[in-house]
Amino acid sequence: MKKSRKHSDRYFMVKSLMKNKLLLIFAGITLIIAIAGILAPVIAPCDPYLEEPVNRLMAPCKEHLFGTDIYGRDVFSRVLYGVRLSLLVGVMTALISTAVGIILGLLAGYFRIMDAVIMRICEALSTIPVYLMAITLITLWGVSTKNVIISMAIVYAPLVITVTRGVAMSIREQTYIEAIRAAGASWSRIVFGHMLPNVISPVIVQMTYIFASAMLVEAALSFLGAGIPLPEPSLGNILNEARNVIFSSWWLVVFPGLCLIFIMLGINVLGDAIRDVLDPLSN
Amino acid sequence: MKKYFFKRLFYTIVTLLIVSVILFVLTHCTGADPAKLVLGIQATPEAVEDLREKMGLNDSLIVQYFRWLGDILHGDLGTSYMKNKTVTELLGESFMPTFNIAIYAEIISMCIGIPLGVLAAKYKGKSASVAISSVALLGMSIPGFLLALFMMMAFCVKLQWFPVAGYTPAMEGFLEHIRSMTLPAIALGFPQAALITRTTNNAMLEVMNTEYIKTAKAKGASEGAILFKHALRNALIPIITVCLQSFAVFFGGAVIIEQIFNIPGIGTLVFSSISSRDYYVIQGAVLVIALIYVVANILMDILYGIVDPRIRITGKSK
Repeated sequence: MKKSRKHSDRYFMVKSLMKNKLLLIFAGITLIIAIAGILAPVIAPCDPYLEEPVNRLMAPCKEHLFGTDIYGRDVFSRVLYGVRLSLLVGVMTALISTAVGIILGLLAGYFRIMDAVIMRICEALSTIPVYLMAITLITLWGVSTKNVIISMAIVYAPLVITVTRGVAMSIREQTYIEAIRAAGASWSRIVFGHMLPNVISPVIVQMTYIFASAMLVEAALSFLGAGIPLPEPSLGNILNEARNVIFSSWWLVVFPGLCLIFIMLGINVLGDAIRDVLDPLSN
Repeated sequence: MKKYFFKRLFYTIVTLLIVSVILFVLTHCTGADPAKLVLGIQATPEAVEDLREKMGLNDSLIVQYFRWLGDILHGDLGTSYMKNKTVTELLGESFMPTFNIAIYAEIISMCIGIPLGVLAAKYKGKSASVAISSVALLGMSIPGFLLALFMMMAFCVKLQWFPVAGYTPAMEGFLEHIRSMTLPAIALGFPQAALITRTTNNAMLEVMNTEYIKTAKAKGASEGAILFKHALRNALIPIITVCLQSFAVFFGGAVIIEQIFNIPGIGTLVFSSISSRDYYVIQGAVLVIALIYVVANILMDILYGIVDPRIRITGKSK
């Protein structure tokens, strides 16, 4: 009985999401870009690392759809691989910060002593701007894809911790928790059996946000040269390499830039739509 | 209220102390030896050891931390290893460009965001509102650094409206000063303008549904009076929140925008000192930025009290 109601809820949610035309268009574009990125090794026409100095800074043409960069590499292939890497960074950051955030948030929400410690640290971390924190961590640990992901997970974990803790604390006060505690339930059963399931849906909303902003921050960091190290292509460091030639070679900025904008648009539209469905009052 | 304020102040100090510990640990646990960085690769081990002793790097980390903290409380943020200047001097030089651009960006984002948000609420469901929310969505999806690049391509070379890079202090001509800050301020302010538009719109829509707005309409108040006198004033709390938060965001985002436009502000200072491992400068600059964030938060609380008398009296909203 309970299961079928849940099923119909989800059905309703998907149905009302499908009605949103704007969402369908932008989500479609984003999905195409994302799939193209994931399938980059299959569909990329050239090797993204192959330098052909003869063909350097070629305007878009048939062989090179997005033109070539200062070393004569195919920009289209590099953008595809760049999208792939951006998605990887976004997904990994969202997953790691969520996993860490949920565990710490539940502990903070259940144990009063840990609450004070964890929340003060989160508060302190949140006063340091995202970019600064990420740049500091990455430069100090050394530029690599792994370090980019770890530092951004540290930057975003406090968000998940705060949300999780809030939900966990509101559940802790409820009568049924008191009742099962009186009946002898262990803390792990209360935390993982009762708090965890309730935390999932608000955390998913946070995850989409973290996913999007991690991609954005990664692009900005790589653009500064403090993110994904060259020659591995990412949307940010393609733009970084383009910086010195932007006035003569527009294609080096416009194509990776548009890709980034469309991905962000898709995620933002999706985020809005999900929020509208979850919270009909706000509409 | 007084009790609440002191409690708040206490937590703020604790937060800043934790920030200082985090910064200290981060910068000191990297393995890079600042003495070696100062002297270069060819320095003799004796010279390095000598300098380490002089810089106090041979003491335990705890001693170093408390010495640093003690100095801060005396107003001394330390001396840069690389630039031969005190951190306070360096911060003093680089604060104004960042601060001016942040103010400029704040003005831009508020002047765009609040009116558009109000308009979108007024024309709810009509094409004007759809247009505004589409622009806001687009604004939120364009990263500031990308906007900066696009604007540079459009305005700096062909049209030559603005200088490509650099910062002209106010002393050397006010118009040039404004011109040199315009593009960075737009790049910082536009995404925040989008956010302010949406926040204003949402807050206004919520207020427009309340009974007292219906009453105001029923008694025949003019539309302008309803929008600005009744609705906007009651929607101010979330708007104030997002505006003040954006000010802190401008200081954080400065790292990137200042690099693009080559502006000698705090962002550039932090970025260059991170790459040269200039510990005291990183610590000092980030601490100052954290302080700005914290002050913005306290200011927010005070403004809440001014805007909403309920908060002023009871210490909490609603």
